Amino acid sequence: MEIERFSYDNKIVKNFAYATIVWGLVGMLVGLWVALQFVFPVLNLGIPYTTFGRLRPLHTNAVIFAFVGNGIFMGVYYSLQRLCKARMFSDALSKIHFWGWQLIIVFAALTIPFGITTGKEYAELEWPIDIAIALIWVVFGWNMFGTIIKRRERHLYVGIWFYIATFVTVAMLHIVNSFEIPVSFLKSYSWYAGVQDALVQWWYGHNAVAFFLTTPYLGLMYYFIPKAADRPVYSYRLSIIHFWALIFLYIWAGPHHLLYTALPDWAQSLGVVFSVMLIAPSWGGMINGLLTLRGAWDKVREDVVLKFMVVAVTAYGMATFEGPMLSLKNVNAIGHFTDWIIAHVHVGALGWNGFLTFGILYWLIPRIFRTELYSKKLANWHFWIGTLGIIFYAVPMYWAGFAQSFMWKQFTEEGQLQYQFLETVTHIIPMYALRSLGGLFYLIGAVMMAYNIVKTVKAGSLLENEDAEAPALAKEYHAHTNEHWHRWIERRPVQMLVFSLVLVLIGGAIEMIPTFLVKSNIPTIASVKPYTPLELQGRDLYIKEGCYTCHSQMIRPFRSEVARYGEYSKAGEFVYDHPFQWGSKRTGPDLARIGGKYPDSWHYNHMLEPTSMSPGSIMPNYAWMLDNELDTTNTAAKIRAMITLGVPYAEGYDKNANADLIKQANGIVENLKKDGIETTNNKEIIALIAYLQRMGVDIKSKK
Amino acid sequence: MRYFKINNVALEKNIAIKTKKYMLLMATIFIFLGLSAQTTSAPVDSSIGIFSNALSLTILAVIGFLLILISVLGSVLKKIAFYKQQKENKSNTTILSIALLAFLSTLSTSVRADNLVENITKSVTIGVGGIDVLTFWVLLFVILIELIIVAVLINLINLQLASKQDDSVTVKSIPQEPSFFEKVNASVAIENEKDILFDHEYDGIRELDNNLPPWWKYGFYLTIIFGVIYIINYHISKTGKLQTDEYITEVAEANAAIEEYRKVAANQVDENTVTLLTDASDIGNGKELFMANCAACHGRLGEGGVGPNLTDNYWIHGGGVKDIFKTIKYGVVEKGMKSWEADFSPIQISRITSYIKSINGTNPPNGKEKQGDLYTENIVSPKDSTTTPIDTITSSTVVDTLSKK
Repeated sequence: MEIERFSYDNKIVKNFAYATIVWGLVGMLVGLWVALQFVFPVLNLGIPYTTFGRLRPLHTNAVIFAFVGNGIFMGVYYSLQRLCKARMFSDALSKIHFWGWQLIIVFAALTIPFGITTGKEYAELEWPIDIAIALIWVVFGWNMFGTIIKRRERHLYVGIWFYIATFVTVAMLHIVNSFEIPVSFLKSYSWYAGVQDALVQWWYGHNAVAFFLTTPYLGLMYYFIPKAADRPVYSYRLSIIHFWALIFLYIWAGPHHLLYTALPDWAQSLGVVFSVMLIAPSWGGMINGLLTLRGAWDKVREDVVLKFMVVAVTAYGMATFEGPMLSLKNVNAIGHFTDWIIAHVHVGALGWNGFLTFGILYWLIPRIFRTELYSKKLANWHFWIGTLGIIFYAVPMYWAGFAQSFMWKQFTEEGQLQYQFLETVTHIIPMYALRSLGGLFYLIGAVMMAYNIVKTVKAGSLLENEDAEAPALAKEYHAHTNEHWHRWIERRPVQMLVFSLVLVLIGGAIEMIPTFLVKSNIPTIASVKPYTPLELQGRDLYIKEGCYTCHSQMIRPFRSEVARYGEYSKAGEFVYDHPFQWGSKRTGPDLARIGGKYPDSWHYNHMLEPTSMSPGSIMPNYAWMLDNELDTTNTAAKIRAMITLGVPYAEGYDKNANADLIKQANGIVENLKKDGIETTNNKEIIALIAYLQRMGVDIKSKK
Repeated sequence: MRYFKINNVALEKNIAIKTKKYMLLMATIFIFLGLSAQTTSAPVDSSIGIFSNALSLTILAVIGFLLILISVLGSVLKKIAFYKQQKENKSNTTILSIALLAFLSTLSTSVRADNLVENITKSVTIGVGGIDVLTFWVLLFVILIELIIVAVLINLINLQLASKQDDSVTVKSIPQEPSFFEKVNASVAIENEKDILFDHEYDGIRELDNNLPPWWKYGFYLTIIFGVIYIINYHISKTGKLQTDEYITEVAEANAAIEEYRKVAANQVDENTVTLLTDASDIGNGKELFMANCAACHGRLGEGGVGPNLTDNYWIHGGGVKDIFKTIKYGVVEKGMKSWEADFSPIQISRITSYIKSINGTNPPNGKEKQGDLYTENIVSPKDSTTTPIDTITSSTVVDTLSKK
């Protein structure tokens, strides 16, 4: 066989590595900032761009898509070339991919703080950026598949199976969840409404965790752990079973984010059972990772890279056991909407994604720069302070979650709620302070790493093109007589792609199609009417300010919630909600039935300065809403978009919408005047009050 | 002699298989338990369900204890079989067996089933001591199964100990016992790794052909069984309560408990029986509550703000003790006064009412202009007697009307 000479592209790996570090530091810094806002609300700075509701999506997007995203590409570009014994398919595509992705991140950072958001968690970016993401993702897939096609290795290694599943599933999730109708260049409405939007969104949200934070990192684990430990992978059979089981089962589990909500019971139950069934497939990855280190534990004591990886895999195991437990309805009843969930995701993010990324960086940078790591001691310090950071982050958040949940549910013997909502918040502020400390530790560790890597890079020189050689792949291939049955698909990347896609389509289709088509899943309520134009504008402000990051709009059927917030939420109440705003965390109280609970003037004063109406509140001030003028030029376009989506406004209503809007605004201005507040009908606050006063009243009057 | 050894090994294998089966069975039962716990427990206050009830806790403790006993017996049995194979120290086995039997005899008395039954029959009439009948019988069934397993294990141990006289095999070389983790995961020892190493290699990475760890594999099966049973329980046999039914039960139970409490509790007042409190401690408590909850809208001195002035003689909804009590309790939702019934107990509302009456006429600075009608104390408000009781929580009615549409 003729030996072919070629080279690996290390420059693209270096670029992605730098991007990982830079965006990681930015994302973590924003995280620390928003964490401190819980303790010192003054850090919201009193300007729109830095309030929690806008910075929180910036933090999540930065760490998920910028930090972990670049981490994925760094690891994939390094390992894929070597596993395929081929240079990346096209250097041009690599460059487009790299710069395209960084540009998307910059656009995200330039839109989210300005309130340009779709209001769907982890999918906040507006439609033009969504299209850009889809295009760049295709570039990535094209480049990856091109490399796979021209590989010099007959069979695909398990790491590549995970990369393929990641590519195809993320594409599917992103496209389906991003169906939206543009109103203007930077404003759109979700195609789906209410319960259906919630189902699609959490099918996406859950599987963003699965296929963006988990499967690509499992692929990286399968490459970098055996390399770093110099040990064979523990069990090939385990790889096969846990890979296919994982991608098939994961897709179904989305509804566990919607337990005890207005989602139909059958869909909730599917979410529960598939989450429980996920324990073993998830743990398959952990077992295969940890047992690969069998016989290398003496190395783990010495080698900081392996230390990071061991903690990463262990954190993965903990988080993937905790997830199914949180999916049991009686556990979820306690944990949902509390800081328990925040603790859970950070064990995954800081432990699994963060530590594995750090391990890979410490392993890979000295190799491509042909030198030793600048300081092993500093890396060791990073390891310990990072671990301490995770503990300081997670433990207080678990405590806060339990404590607050039990306070929410506590009744006196006489049948009254024991605690006002605000008391349950002020009670856990010390926990928020400790959590910030944990975050600070973690960030300090990351800064130490950045310094260490800068020093390493300076000491070495990049091997841009690493020479390699391998025999070309023979045209003919004769399988061994007694080879494992799975080898068949390992030499057929296209079949593997198609089969993965079919598997991941099943779960989503079975859950979504009946929810969309079967009427009984969302019983209609005759008294529920579309929003008035002013309320619709107010709702868009609610989305713009990111209110959903702290306030839920979903009263669960529990005695404690009905007593606190009113009659529990029904599926039929949300049919005009494009997008749904159920939320996932209650830093503030639920707002599903806030309508009519307080006078207009209460809301006016409360938005100006929340502590004036609720002493001790940690909600930011929204003083600018009192001064900003409401943009009503787009009202007609918004009504038309809603009509397209099936909201039953009368034909031609878009032309009269602003007249109605002003009429309603005048009413609120009158109301405020009675309580001594002078304002005009064209302020943002008027629209927001209109929306708040509308929430939940359509069926509230029954009481 | 030779024959016996084979027999012995076979026996050990047999035991191992049996233990595995028992474990599987136990785990299945636990899943059932978990399910019934979900079914029976309301998710809220008693969200820990069967773990909060004294009787069920006792039963669970017995179950746990028996489980430990089973695992001890199982390992003892394995040890005996192992020792018998080695045959190196006879006295060891004897001491062990004596100790074991002594241990067992004490145990068997402590977990006598009739003790339990006696315990339980006391409360059979009311859904068995606070846990529902199904859960109770499932729990009892678990204990029964566990007792059977214990009996079988003791039997096997006896069999082993009895046959020791016939046995005089000498074993020459004992293979090195695999480590705990190797046993648990059924992995091939590192020394023998080359036997299971695949010949393929990716950038220097090799792969081994180790077994799926048995605990992982059976755990996976169990979660699948759990899933099937879960769906059957909630959606096919419909034995499990879905969220709406769960909620109705929870509210009914809570309302019953409140009724019970009200029967025995003193100081119960409502808008028809409330009177002005003059005790300083009552007024003081009322003031505290007012400052924390009312001052935001009505001002710290009651001068008004978002809400009306409470210190003048003009009242929108009546200024009598009963009127104010009623306004606080039910609220005037259309005017922005929320109902505080879920937040304050009746006695607390009467304290706030009394505090409000106590600040009448204080004429604080920045008082809001008068609203409503002039109220003078000797006129009895006619509204007081016409209160319509409001259901604490309406649930089934709303659900019904909705689902009909």
